[in-house]
Amino acid sequence: MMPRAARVLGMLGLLAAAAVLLAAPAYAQLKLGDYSISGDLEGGVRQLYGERNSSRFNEFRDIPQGLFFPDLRLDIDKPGYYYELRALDLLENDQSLRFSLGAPGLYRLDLEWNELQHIFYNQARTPYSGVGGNVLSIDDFTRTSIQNSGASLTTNLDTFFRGGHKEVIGFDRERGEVKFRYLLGPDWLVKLAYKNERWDGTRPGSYLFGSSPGGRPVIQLPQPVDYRHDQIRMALEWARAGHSLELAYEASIFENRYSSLTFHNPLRGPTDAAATPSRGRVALDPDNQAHYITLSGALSLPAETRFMGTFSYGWMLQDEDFIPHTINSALTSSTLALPRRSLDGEVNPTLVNLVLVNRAIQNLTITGRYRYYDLENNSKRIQFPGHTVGDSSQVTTAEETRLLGYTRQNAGVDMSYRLSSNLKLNGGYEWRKTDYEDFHAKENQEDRAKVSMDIKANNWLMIRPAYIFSDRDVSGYQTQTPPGQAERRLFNLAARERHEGKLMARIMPSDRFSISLEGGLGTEDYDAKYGLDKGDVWNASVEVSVTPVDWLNMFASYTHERITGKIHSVQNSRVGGTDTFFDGDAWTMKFTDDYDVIRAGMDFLLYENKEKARKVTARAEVSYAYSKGETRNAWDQGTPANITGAGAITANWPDIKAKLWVLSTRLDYHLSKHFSIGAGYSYERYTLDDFTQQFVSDVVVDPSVTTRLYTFGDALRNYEAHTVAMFARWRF
Amino acid sequence: MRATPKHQRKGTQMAFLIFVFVALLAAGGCTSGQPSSAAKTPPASAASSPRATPVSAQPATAAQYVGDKVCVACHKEVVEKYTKTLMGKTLTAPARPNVQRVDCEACHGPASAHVAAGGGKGKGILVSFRQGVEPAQVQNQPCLKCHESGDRLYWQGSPHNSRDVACVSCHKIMEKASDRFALAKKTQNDTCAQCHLVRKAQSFRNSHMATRDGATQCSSCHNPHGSVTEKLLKGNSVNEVCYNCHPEKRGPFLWEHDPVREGCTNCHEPHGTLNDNLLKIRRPRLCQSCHVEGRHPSSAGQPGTYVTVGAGCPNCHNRFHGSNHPSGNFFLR
Repeated sequence: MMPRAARVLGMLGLLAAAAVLLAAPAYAQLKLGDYSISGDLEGGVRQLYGERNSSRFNEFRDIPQGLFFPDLRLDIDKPGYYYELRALDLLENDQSLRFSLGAPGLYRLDLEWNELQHIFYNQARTPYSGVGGNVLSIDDFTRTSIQNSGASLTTNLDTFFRGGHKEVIGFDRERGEVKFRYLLGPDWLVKLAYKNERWDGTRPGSYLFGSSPGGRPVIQLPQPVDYRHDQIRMALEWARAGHSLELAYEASIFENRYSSLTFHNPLRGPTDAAATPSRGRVALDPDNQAHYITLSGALSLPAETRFMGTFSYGWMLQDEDFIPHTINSALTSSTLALPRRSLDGEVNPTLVNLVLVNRAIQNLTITGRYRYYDLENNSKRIQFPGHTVGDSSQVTTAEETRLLGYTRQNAGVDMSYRLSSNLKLNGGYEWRKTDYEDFHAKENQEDRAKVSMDIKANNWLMIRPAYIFSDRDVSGYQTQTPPGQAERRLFNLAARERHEGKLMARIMPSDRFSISLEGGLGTEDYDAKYGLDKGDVWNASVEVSVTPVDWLNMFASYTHERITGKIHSVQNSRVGGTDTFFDGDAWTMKFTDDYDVIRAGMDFLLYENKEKARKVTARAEVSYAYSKGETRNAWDQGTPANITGAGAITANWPDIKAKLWVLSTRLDYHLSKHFSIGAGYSYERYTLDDFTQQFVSDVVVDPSVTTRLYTFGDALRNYEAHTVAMFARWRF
Repeated sequence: MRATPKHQRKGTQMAFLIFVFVALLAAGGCTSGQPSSAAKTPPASAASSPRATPVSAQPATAAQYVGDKVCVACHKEVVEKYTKTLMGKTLTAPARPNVQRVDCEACHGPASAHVAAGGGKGKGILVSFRQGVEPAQVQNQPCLKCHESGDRLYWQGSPHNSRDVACVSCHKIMEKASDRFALAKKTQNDTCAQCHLVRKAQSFRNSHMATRDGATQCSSCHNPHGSVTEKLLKGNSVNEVCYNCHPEKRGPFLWEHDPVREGCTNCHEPHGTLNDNLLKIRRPRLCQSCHVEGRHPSSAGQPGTYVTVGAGCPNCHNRFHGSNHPSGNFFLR
């Protein structure tokens, strides 16, 4: 990552250059010979107040105090050429810059730079050293001390994790991009693009030693993020009136600096034992690359017919060397010898997409579609004679990899008929078939029918109701034993019936008043005794925009959405080493997620003197977002007396509630056509009432139970922030 | 490619499809005898459009072209704003032979009737581009003469096209309202939110992409002009769109997880949810939608236990997106 000081210097240089340009008279667009220069520069001072030490406040954004430059635009024109510079949030960790130059009718070049931060936790605690690298260690003295704690082992382990140092868990992403388009002639266009992205930092991960957490700790760890991603696209396009053809090559190359993460076991070390390794090691995301060749074309045929098609073939490749089965030197079974050095992974996606649109009959449009997508997994199928579990035990049962792939075909026809200028009827049918490889089902087929209407009245009303029905059947489902498994269906494969209703409307009685409406209702029923049973959604949204007088513009909107679902399951007990189901251990979960968002805003023109080009404008916008999640659990068989497996006992989970208030205001005094000053105030308040976060606010999730889950001890906290800013804008 | 009967069938299907594809293109190439791009022959090319006339809401007139000077005489302010846009700069004063001057009437149609009527809104103009005044297909026709290749290749028959969305619903041509792409609103997200109100609201949810912060935009994933994938996605499949920003999830992995390989949206709602990581259902219930295997996967779960807090099941099965570890068959490593 470029040091902040270097970036600051770079940006100051940029601003200095802009200032030189601005040194010319500000009362007119600047002219330098053939060049005419115009633009905007906004800068100011910002101060923040309030309780904002929550990772949620800066999750994807950087709002530093002091000087800030939210907006810079510079346009330079010369006959036959143009240059553009755009910069948003200059010098901040989420800044974006673009420089474009072009010669209309010949070429265009874009250079873009974009930064983004993603903060997961800003007060994470971890006792490990080496954060950011791929070895997280605890010194031997400390480990030995913990191990020799005797009866105080758990207490000392808790104390050790609670005493960890603070870290920010998150990463910065920087993206640079070059795009170039060159017109070779009237019909030929070359398009080239290169994009480089780098991620640097950490993200949360958690791992355990052994097969289950009973007695062994599960530890949340800062997993290193040091990625590089290069993308290239080259395309040649030929286009004439009604016809075009494009041949493109794309490559995406991903590199992860670290192929594995090693972490010390606080309960063992420095030497290994079979059941308690001194270290654990996990494989991180391997380097991979993808290449595509794509041919796309369109042509206008006789009889008002247009054909569009794409053929694309790709290679997704991954061949990173395997790390050994375990880092635990005490596990030495001969079955742990690796049968291959690497996966030699290759997945080949193929796409054929054909669309034919015909408008030969007046007022009737017929669209036919066929889509073929094949994801063929040509990786090597590998059988491992044995494996380890959490670096602490070895299993000599052979395991074979699966080569997941599928072929999906969609075919359909849509028809729309305009009965009059006010009414259009639409209908369509789509057939969809998926053939799976190595999935739990062989294939499923879906039939989908849809009808809709477009109603328009006197240019001020548009209504579009729609209804879609789909029915999916599955065949060749590979059921498993014991019986409970046999009745389980994976929701993405299961037979399903779905109904969807949608409504979109816009009412615009005048240029000064409009109402937009959007709503939907959907139900899904899955044919599964165990697994996802039902899923419903309905939503409604309305937005009103009014301009009662020239100096005032207002809008308000409200959206509600409710998502509900039902999962049916059964606790599976181990009886005499065999998975066994008891009817009394069946349970059901119903969830309901409610979402409400209210927004309103106003733009004022408070004062205007056109002669002196002076005016005062104000803007205010407020939003309130409320989310609530209910989780209701119940036993199917009534009382706990009927329950055989303790794991089937459950209770309703506490509701989860999240609220976000945002108020932003801004006042601008335009002193002249070119210069304005202003002030702004914004307020944000976020609250989260989430039992899962309350538990992880301590490093030890639940000290009352033997099972230990050590987290970063940094829950997503509430925040309340006030931002006050003063700024000036120079338009030249 | 593995030599199994199924793959042989696939090969045959593929060969047939490629043949159809190439044959149709070749057939079109042979029948193509039309002149070059419309932009090169304004304004007459706009008037002779074969698809503009049948669905026009305006009666056919014998209007004549009057030339730009006549238009500018009354619409000076509008033209001044237009000439500051990239399209205005390009088309009103072309500097190279690849681009020819495009007059007002190339898009708006011949204006003699409008002039004869003494001007005024909607008087004698073939295409006003005002919302709802002409059918979207008529309004779009002048735009498509130059903008129907590249990203707009699949416009015809696309969801927005079939719903009569006009180019001018999302794009403002006559003045600069956005930094790029001549959008009708200042940002892409605001432009899309004119109709997609629910999507806009979803960005305010507890778990969301950086859309609200302006770092990701609707067009990061969608091509509003039409695409080869449902939901107007920009890639060849849902996953291939997601890999653009999450290439580490692409694999292929040694141990793969079925729903991940099939589609990221099996588990994630990318527009925003209450649940962490844009998950459709809270963990561990999301995992339990499928997993009924022995012991803990089917535990009903009490609040505060290691499966209901933190990351849920991924507290241990952290590599559930796929693992390249030889012992990663349960995604523990």
